[in-house]
Amino acid sequence: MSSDLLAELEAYGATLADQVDQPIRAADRSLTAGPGVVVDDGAATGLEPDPGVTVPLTMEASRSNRGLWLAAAALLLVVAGFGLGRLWPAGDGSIDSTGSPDDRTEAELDGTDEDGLPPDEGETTPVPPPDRPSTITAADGAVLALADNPDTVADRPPRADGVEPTLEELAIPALDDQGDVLIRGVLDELVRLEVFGSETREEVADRLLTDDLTITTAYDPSAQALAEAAIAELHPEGDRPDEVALLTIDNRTGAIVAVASSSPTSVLIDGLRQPGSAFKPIVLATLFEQGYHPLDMVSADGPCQFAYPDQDQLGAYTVDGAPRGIQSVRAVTLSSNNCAFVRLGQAAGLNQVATMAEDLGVTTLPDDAGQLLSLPLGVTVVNGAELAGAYATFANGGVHRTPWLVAEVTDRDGTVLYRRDGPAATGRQVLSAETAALVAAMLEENVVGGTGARASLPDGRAVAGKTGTTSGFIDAWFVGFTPSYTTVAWLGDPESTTEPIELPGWNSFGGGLPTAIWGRYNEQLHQGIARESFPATPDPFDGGGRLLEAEFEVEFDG
Amino acid sequence: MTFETFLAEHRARLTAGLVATYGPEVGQEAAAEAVAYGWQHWDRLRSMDNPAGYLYRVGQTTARGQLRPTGFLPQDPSPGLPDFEPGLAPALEALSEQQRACVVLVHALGWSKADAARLLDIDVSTLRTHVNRGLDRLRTSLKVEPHVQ
Repeated sequence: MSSDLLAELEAYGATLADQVDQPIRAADRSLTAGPGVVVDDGAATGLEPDPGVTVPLTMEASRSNRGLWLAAAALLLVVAGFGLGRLWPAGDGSIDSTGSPDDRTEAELDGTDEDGLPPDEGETTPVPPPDRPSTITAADGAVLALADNPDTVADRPPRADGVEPTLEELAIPALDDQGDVLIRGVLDELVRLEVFGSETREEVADRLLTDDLTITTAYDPSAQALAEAAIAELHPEGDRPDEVALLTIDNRTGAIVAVASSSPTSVLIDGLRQPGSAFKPIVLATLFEQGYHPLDMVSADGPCQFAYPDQDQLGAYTVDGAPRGIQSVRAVTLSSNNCAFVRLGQAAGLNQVATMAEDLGVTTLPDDAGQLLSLPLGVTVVNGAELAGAYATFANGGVHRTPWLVAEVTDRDGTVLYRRDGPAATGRQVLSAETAALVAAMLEENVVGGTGARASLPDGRAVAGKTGTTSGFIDAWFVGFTPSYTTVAWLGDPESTTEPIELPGWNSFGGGLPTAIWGRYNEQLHQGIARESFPATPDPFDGGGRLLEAEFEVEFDG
Repeated sequence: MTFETFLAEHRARLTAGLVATYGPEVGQEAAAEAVAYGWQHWDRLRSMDNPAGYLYRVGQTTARGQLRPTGFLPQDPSPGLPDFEPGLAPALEALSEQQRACVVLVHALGWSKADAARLLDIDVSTLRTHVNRGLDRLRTSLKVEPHVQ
């Protein structure tokens, strides 16, 4: 043992102890409650806490504590719980910690660290995060935002008059920059829907704090808690640049019921990322809607090359691959074969694929998407919530609804300022039910035997989904659905589109961590929900056999 | 046992564990949240074998919600405290959470291995592994030679 290092650590410990008002060194501890032990959380009267009482979260003496409380604020975000037919009790947010090390999936036992030893993960059972109260005020959101990022408070220059800033002054920038993911999603939606005209996000945030409004959302705190728990359980610990995030949509209503992220913010709400292979089911939907069949055939050979007639060979688009012969659309979906999907995009017509993507709610395609040979490989950025909304359309028989959080906004007199109803609520039939069923069947098979295998749920219920990995391991997705819920799981560095993801003990292909987190979360989410199957498809073996070809394929000249 | 009695005995060690893992600022906030959680859920927690360990993990979940902790270097220490190697705080930051918690609890805050293991809800041999590997990595970062006794 190095005596120098141990002495340094002891000195460090003395300095730590100096910064903390609890006696944290063993030598300083007393085992009985003395006058030095401060119990300032309301229990000092010695009475038992009443489980029914809402407890204000107090922040200990630290730079972020300026008398911030969960105020009985004028604003209420009322959680309505819009899950239709949900059989499990909502609101408790707790999960059964029944997992033991032996129950861990193969995924979690994967991998060793650089010493050849198992990774440093604790063997403890998963713990749900502190319950969110089912009534969330904007002040709660502000306090959560500030707790997540005390720097926001600390960096503020002190006021010249020495007066402490008000909660509102602290909260508005905090809401805008580092706000709780849910609050940000609500703000974004209110701005997008122009509920308050052309007011900016900051103006709407200000209004939430000062007006006496009631906002009814579809947010479900128990689903949220399960999502957060799954992330906490499986996302590696420590200071790391990558974020893993989950967003869940109720298929029947299009409501966003949960958004959870390992960061204080989430790319899924307001970011744009390349979906990679997670875009491919949109190509399938386009093909099937045109009458093509899962057993139609396409070349899966690679490498492959494509060019428009007026392009010279230097401008050709090349895709890597291996010689794999002619395969069915079904087979190339299971292997997510890139050359095959570039060909399929042309067979369906890239303009039609772009139109289908827009019908499915993708609003971020570039104007020239219909000319983009690489479109089927997911090179154009998408919003995570929109991507989930597209898949929810496959899950529910072809009806698209724009994913939403806000159901209603009323003012203090009960006047309804906004209510979600009408065509937005009904949705739009953008695919035939048969097409939706075929896509769901393909993606269900993908979970059973393709790259989505870690998403299959222990109770054997119907699960469908698709992984997506962008080249260079920049993003890893799994978008999956049951008849009840569609959930998108994303892993990546929210601040970089060039740095590959590196996770000790996991490979970064989309089939790894996002899928495992998806599976863990959905296993809990679906407890108590009746097992359903996807709608039956027309006989999958009746049809097919046509060879689909790519209009712009050219000889590969390696 | 009332929650107050539990707190009197365990609050300091809960804070110590979270401060050891996440630094003084984040650690204290996480401890406060864990205490609030414990107060709310004492009915359920009181019958557990190791409620302090459970609350430590609650604090971890809170602390992990922060993308980048503000650091393990305490701010503005009082005069008269011993100086320590400036590279130590970043080197601690580079350890895994488990290694850092174990190293700081045992060697910076002077806890027995048994007490530390109980709080972190791991067994003592696992704790020993984390301590040894953590110290090895610190030595490498700080380029310190092990002193053979």
